[in-house]
Amino acid sequence: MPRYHKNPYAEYRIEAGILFLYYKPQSCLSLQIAKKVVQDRLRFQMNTSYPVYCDVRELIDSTKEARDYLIREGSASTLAIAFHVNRGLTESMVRFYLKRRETHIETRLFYEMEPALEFLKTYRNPKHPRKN
Amino acid sequence: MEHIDARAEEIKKMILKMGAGNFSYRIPRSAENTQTESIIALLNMLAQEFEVAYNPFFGTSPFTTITRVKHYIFMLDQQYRILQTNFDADNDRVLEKQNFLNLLSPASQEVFQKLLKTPKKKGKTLNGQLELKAGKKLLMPLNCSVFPLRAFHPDSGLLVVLSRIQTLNPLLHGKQQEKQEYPVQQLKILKSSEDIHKFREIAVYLHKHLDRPLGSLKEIASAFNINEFKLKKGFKELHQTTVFKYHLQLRLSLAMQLVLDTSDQLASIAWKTGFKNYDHFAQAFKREFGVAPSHYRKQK
Repeated sequence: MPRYHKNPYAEYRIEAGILFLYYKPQSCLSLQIAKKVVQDRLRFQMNTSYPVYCDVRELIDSTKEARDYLIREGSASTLAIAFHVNRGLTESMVRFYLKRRETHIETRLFYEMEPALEFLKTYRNPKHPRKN
Repeated sequence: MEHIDARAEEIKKMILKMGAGNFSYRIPRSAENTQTESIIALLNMLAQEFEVAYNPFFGTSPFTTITRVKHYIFMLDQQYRILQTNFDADNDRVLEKQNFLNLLSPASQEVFQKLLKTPKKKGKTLNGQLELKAGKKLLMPLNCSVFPLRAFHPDSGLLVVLSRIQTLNPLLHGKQQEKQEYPVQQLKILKSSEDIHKFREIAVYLHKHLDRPLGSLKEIASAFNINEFKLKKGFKELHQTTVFKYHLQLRLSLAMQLVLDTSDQLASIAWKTGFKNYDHFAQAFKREFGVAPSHYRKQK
């Protein structure tokens, strides 16, 4: 199973039963970028659901079409999502996005990585092999 | 840290535009992580949401949604100077003889020049999204199509068509005639905003249960504390289709997405989208999209 993947917009890593997704710096998250990020994630996961650590601190702006797409498809095959945001800009943008998203997937915002991972660990798939 | 006063003019202008029912404008963004920048990002996102969602009758079907498409045409010479235009969103400037690039935000200037370098395939138009400086300090995002006129004359420049698509809403002034042309359906069953809210909840419920067939109308009605007749007629009134057809279409849309975006087996997709077996799924898929799921995957 691949442990690492990247495309021009994001990097993916699976470690200890958690999927790490880092958005690369880009001025505006468009529909085309959002689709590529989700499609690559689904391929990378290979039919397994994971709790997802999603680092969005490098995002600056997004289009409505991209947000609408992510509302529909963004949490497919996830067990929980932790958004790593910075205080201020990305926090505001993600909070706005989450207001319109209706999902049963547990989602939280974090300013630091450690508490985000603590949160995600409780959602790991017990059948999935992991180191710790 | 940037003080909000430095951007107050743009913010006020944007709010006034939105108050007048015009959600087409955006405030130029930067990557600074300040409170002011957060407010501007939120205001832009709010305008985007309103632009699409401002409709007094939530859930009306597409044929009753009134949209207005406005095309702005720019004739440019080879140096991108404007020869002629019908752009009227900013009346204070004379645009003729100005360089078209000067009307664009810095990011859009790059997009436009990149667009022109794209090799043109036969019969295809160059399409993109541009932000035009308009309304003093604000930006207007527009869909852009570029037609190089060289095919007609070697010295010719470009024809640029910028399009703005607006959903009409009651805050916009005038346009009564268009309302008469496209009469808005009178709701007979759904009489209050509570009713509409309840049917919205029902639609959300359908969206959340795509992996299994629905229960009977009676069961759904009792889950939402309404009678079966109201569920049947009210849903049809809002969505112009029945609860079951609506649900089936949602499941098939999800299935199409999974066929396209994943390498899941088709039988597994059938199961995930609530079909009893693959044959049943393939039949429904072909009826909806005109092609069997296996062929659809091969095509893409």
